[in-house]
Amino acid sequence: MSPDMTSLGGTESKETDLHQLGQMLGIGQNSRATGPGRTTSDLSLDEILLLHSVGLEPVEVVFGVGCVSIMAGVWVWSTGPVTDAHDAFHRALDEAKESIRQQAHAAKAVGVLGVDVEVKCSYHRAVVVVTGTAVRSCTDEAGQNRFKVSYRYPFLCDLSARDFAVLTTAGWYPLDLVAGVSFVHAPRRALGTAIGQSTQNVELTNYTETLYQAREAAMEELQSHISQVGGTGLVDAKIVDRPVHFASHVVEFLTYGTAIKMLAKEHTHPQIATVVPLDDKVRTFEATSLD
Amino acid sequence: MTPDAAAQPNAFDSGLTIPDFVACLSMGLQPVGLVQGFYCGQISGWSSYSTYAVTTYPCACYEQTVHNTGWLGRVDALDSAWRSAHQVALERMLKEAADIGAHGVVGVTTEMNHPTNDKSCEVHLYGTAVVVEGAAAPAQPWTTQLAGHKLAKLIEIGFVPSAVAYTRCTAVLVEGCNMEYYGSGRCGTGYVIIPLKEAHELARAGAIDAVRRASGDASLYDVRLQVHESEGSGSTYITCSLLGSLVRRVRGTLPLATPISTVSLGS
Repeated sequence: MSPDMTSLGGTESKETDLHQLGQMLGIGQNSRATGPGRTTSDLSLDEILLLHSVGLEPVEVVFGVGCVSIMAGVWVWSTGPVTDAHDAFHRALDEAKESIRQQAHAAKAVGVLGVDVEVKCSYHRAVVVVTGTAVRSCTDEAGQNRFKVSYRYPFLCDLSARDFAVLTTAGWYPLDLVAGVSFVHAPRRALGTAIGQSTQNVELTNYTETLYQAREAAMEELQSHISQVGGTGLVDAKIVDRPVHFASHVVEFLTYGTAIKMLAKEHTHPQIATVVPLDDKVRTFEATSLD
Repeated sequence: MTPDAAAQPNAFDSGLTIPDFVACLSMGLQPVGLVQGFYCGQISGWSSYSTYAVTTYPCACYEQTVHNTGWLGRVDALDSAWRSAHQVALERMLKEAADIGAHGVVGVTTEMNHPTNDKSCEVHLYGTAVVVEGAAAPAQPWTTQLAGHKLAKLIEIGFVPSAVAYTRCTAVLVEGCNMEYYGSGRCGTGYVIIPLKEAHELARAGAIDAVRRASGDASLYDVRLQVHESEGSGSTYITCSLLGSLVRRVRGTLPLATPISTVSLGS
């Protein structure tokens, strides 16, 4: 049977004919390229296939960078929140998001998927770098967009293509990447208390309370940003709480994720098949058992 | 012909996993040998210094005396050392494949190291050379990181593999006077640090632009983007590298079957 370059795919296809695909590979290698080309994507092939199933395709790897100064001296011992660091982080994040959106807009993308967020805070600056793949709608044979939702600005989300496909199938859509952050000075113990506790296993209540304080502030800010972008919720929140290595007694609490909104009339529960894999781990012969 | 194949004319060696091997045979891709390409080289001691300025930043501090400005540049010699090392290793692997009559190389793996110190580079590419049953040999063997069912899916969505591609771009930011790091020259919070922002952008845009120029009518899929940043002696180096598979579209996109969500009960 001669391979037909248009017979595969489609919602009716049930099983892939591997032999036919192999023949198409041979023919394709000796034929001219069609289509626009010049696409760059850091999505895996599995993710690209899933994207096609919801009517999207990758366009370009896009990124945004924000570097904002932090005034000298803000990290020295004090009490309460370090507002300069907080403000610098948000300015850097806004710069990075604006830059990646502009690139996505220039690529005529509907949004950016799989955004990787890199945050670096040092003594003098906050740096935020966001990198992802801009995606656009596929068109059907009539030239109509297969992805039916239109956005005023390209959406940003740190979801994988798999998560995006499941989310949209359920009727929910991503809006924006939102974050809450807090840098807080932990108060120092009195010298006498520190000496008195030096031989004991005790909770450092000053640190515990500071972590709670930082967490409350960051989560409240996150909630506020979700509402600002018009979202009704947030999924896949990432949480980073860590000491600031260059500033003694300061703790950082960062949380970010994708704000989402339900655009369908109601939530649709996807039909899920149960799979029992039969490919158990292969038992290997252990030579040491002969000892 | 590889030494193993020479010893046993009908034998082949391959780096394919069992599922990939079975799928390749079903596709009519006959493995003919495990082909490899190596390159070990020395990176010139001058490479780190053979920079050229792209942008200079005037000092914005309050001092009246003339002192050094900061500047942003490219380290092309260092990048070209790695790019050419990859290219030579790829050509050597392709020659091995062509010598045994292969049409393409699947499952290409790329390893890059400093074998001795950071002034040396080693690139090792290896993959399984295959012959496509009933097809005419292409002018040059094609290469791809994919194999088996992943390769089949690539063809199903309308692409054929072209070549594996690697590129990188290193930006260097040389600090002239500390004050320009504050962008506006004022010491405070909330000023955009333009030099550092542009250094990050230059490294990433340089690597992506290089891929665009090299890819012609092809697309780069399955990209692994890595960024490395280091500081020392008043300089900041930011390197962005891209490794992926160039693919060519040979037919239009067709809608795929709706995926079925599953929950695995296996451990």
